[in-house]
Amino acid sequence: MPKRRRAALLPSNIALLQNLIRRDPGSYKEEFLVQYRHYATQKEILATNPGGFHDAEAFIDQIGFIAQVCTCYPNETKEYPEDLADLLRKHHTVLPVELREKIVQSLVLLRNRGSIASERLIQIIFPLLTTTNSKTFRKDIYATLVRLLKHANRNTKAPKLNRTVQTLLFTLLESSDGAAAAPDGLWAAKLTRELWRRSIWDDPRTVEIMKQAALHGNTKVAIAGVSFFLGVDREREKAERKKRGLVDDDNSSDASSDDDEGDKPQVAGIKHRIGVNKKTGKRARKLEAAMRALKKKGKGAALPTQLNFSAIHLLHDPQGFAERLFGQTLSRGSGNKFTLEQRIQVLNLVSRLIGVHKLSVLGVYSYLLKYLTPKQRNVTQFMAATAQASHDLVPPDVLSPVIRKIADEFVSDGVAAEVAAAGLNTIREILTRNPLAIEADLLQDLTAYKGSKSKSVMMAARSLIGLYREVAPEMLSRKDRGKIASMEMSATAAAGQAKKLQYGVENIVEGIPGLELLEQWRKEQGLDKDDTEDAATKEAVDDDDAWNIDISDSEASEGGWIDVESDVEYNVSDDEGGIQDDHNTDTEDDGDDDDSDKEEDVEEKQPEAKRAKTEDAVQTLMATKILTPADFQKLEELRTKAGLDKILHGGKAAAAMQHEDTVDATSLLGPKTGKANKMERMAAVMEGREDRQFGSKKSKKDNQPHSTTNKEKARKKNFIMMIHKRDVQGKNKKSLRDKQKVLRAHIEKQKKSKGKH
Amino acid sequence: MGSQRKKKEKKKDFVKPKLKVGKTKPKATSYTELGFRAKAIGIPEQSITKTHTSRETFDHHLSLARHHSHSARREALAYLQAHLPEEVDSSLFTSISPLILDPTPTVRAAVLSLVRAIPTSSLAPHVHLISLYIHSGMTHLAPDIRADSSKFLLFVLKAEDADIPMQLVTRSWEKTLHCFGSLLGWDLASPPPPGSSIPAGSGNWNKVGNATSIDRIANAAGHLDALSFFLRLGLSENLTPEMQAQREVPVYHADTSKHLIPRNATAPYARLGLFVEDKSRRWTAVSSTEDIGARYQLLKGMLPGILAGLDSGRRQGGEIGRKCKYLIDFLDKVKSETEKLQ
Repeated sequence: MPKRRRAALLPSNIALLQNLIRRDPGSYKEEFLVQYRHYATQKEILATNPGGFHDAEAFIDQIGFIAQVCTCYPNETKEYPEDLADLLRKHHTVLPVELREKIVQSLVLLRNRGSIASERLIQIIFPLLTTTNSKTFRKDIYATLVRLLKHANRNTKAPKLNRTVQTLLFTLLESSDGAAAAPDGLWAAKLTRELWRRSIWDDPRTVEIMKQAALHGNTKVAIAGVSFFLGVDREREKAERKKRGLVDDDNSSDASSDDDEGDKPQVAGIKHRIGVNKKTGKRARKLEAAMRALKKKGKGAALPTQLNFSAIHLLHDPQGFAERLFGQTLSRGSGNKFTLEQRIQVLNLVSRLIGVHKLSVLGVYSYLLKYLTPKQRNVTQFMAATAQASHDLVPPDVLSPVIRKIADEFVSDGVAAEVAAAGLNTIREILTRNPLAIEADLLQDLTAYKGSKSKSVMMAARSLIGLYREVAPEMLSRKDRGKIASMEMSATAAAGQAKKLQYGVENIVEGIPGLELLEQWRKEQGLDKDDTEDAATKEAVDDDDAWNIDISDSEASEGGWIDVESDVEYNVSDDEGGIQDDHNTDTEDDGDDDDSDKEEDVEEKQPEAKRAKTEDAVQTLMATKILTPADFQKLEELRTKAGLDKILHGGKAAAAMQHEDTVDATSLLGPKTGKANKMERMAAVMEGREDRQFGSKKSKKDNQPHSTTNKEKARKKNFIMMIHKRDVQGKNKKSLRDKQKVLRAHIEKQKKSKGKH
Repeated sequence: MGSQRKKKEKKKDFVKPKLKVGKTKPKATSYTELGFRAKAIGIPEQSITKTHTSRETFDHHLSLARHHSHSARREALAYLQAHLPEEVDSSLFTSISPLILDPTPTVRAAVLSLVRAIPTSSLAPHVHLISLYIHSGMTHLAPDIRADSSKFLLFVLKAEDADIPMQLVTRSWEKTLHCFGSLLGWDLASPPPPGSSIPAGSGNWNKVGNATSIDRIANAAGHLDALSFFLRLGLSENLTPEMQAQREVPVYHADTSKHLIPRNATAPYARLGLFVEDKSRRWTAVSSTEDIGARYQLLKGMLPGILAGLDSGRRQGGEIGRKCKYLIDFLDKVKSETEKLQ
């Protein structure tokens, strides 16, 4: 009897039916078909009047139900996904909100169950992103798309799906290239950016999409594209760190960032539940699983990061991109579509492209000339862009007018100290990248500011001097050169190999600088002979002595190791054979060159021969010896003695010449001197407070959402209910002796707790 | 100094204003003008005696047809029936046709009587809408709604204006047949394998409603009536008198009428399927079947299922048995006739 009643209930009790169908699809087929037919007729009524459908709730339930059990009857429900897609496509503007949401949910469910392919789902819902005018729906679809792509790319990349979506985005950008359909392009840019930020997409195609966006006709889309290139790598790094749990919580509350948090295993919650609830095997297993998941996550944090190429590096044809970007947005013909801030952003990107890829977009420099005046709004940004846009392959005659302009406008007696400092700093930044862009006269004029009363100007001028001491001391006035640089200059002049900066000649490190000094020293000490004679025995006997640095005479290095600068490339003489050959051919080439201009330096033949000899000696040393840390220590000592040190540390300037980093506009103003004002002080205070949490541990614990504890319950219980309990009545009925005991115990306790404090 | 100026100003605030003879007392700074003069008195336009136009009350009752209380709905329908205008527009149909699926039996009865009261001339353009709801009723989950659906269907089929049932027959022949299948619990989609025979009195007949047995039989009889009406309309050539006359005296070709646009047709070109995107879809409302041959072709696929169902009904005997027998005979006749033609 009860079974029959259940059967009678079935048509209306969808949840029960769903459960039964899951267990036994075959025998409940009839019931399912009743539902399905009803759905079909209801759908047609809906299609005639989608806005004012009379029975939306029941229909919503039915859609969900069919989507859930659809896999049990694949033949009967073949058309179901397409039906839903049709409804959504035709009527999404007028459908009731809940129904619309349910349809999207069901489609996602169908995809999860494998009834439709991911590509198809994206084809269905992607157009809605741009056609719907409901904000919430758009947000929903956007989140769905991101989640879908995230899941598809979770373990291995899904190239086919990615390509489909990327093609869709491409076409969206292309088709929206009129001003009217701007939001479409904006959505494409937003989606791409989000996927890049989460490292779901990291291929050149993605970058191409954003390139397309940056060149888009609409201002908003173009700026979205540009800001992608400028900021997205930092964003991505941040997201990555956040994922690893290095940064606790950021206040960047994105629409879809919350689905990451769902992954966190809630060990604390489970532990608490185990403490409170009855201990069962199931709960214990749950805790174990959570711990395992947590461990796994922690392991992931320790894994080395995968290769992460910056978006700018992944560009195809950066030259063309930079030229088009400059031509479309900045050059004179483009009109004033962009505001100043936007133009600065674009300029920033163009200059970064030029700096990173060493492009030659010569129009930029003359464009910048116009803006480089102290009165210009946001001039530091323009100055930073100028510095970023210069590199060693820019012809000096293109850059020198820029430098001249900055010098004229910024660095003169009539201007304020910070203006002069900014000008000098900018000039320095440009010259680090391209030292040839200035004439000696102008440089010497500028370095004369080293005696300025303003500290920032003085420091800026000094830094300029410091730079040229390393790069080209001959351009400085004699007294600015400094001891080391002068010594080096005279030494090289005596050797007849005074090297001059030349345009287009790259600074290549050929060996360990100052190695000949070491060789000479070894000869003087007579160490070489020992080595060659019984190297094997010696190494066997006092291996340690030869290898380690003698700590007694090296007071500088603490750990027995010398400081090795990470950004300087040391040529360690491990691979002797090949390098030696190379060097031999090199030296021969040099000889040929010198032969060709023999007429000039006949009298320099003597030093020439000498140089060849020392080089040979160096070669033999490099070929036969493995340099120990102790050797390097000695080498440095000798180098400082000989005034050669600047070559090694000159590496700093050399590194700066290939510098790809951004130039910070605020750093151009020089160090801030004087007292901080109130706002700055408050900012510093706030910064210090940012991650700290105040208050007691207990209050934090209590503020967390939790159910009532037993203690609380007991405390709040109605007294009338408790009055007849033994706990309460017993107190009255206690014997005098017992009461005394309790009182005594209480006093003792009080005393103890007082004694503690 | 600024502070002195401020002191002076402060002092000034507390200086007692001097009263002068012949001059009015100066007004305080905080003085507010209180006197006013009314120029007119406005009386809000309200009247308890205001008469509503009949149209307004009619519309009001139309909206009441969607009231959550079933008695209010029923009363609204009664009012609508009593005050039916001569020309009924589509708003009436859009608001009452969902009530065909109303959970309350009395409301459904009221709808039926209201629909009966509507002049057939104004009913004709809305048959499609009504038939959608009838179809939904035939496949409905609630048994009593399902049981009542055939009453509406019979009403449409028996309408005076011959165009009304023909619309149903031509525009949704296949779909209505499918709905009958679900209404009577027959499996029309897949014909039973040839060897198997459906046992007499198989559960199908008991599934038609969960009411008492007498009711059940009455319901089933109603459904069978509707089915036989529907099949006869669709499968036998029913000629209007003028068509008959024309056939007898052929001025033009005898079958000219078949190729003309049907009179009074609301969607004359629906059979072309111009606005149906995917023609392969089975459950479309518009699968136009203009002539008997096409209808028979569609019926042919479901015929084994229908015959099996009718056969089991015939074995039950009684009123249902008689009706089933009649239908079986009719279908046999149609079958033999059409096969003879081909």
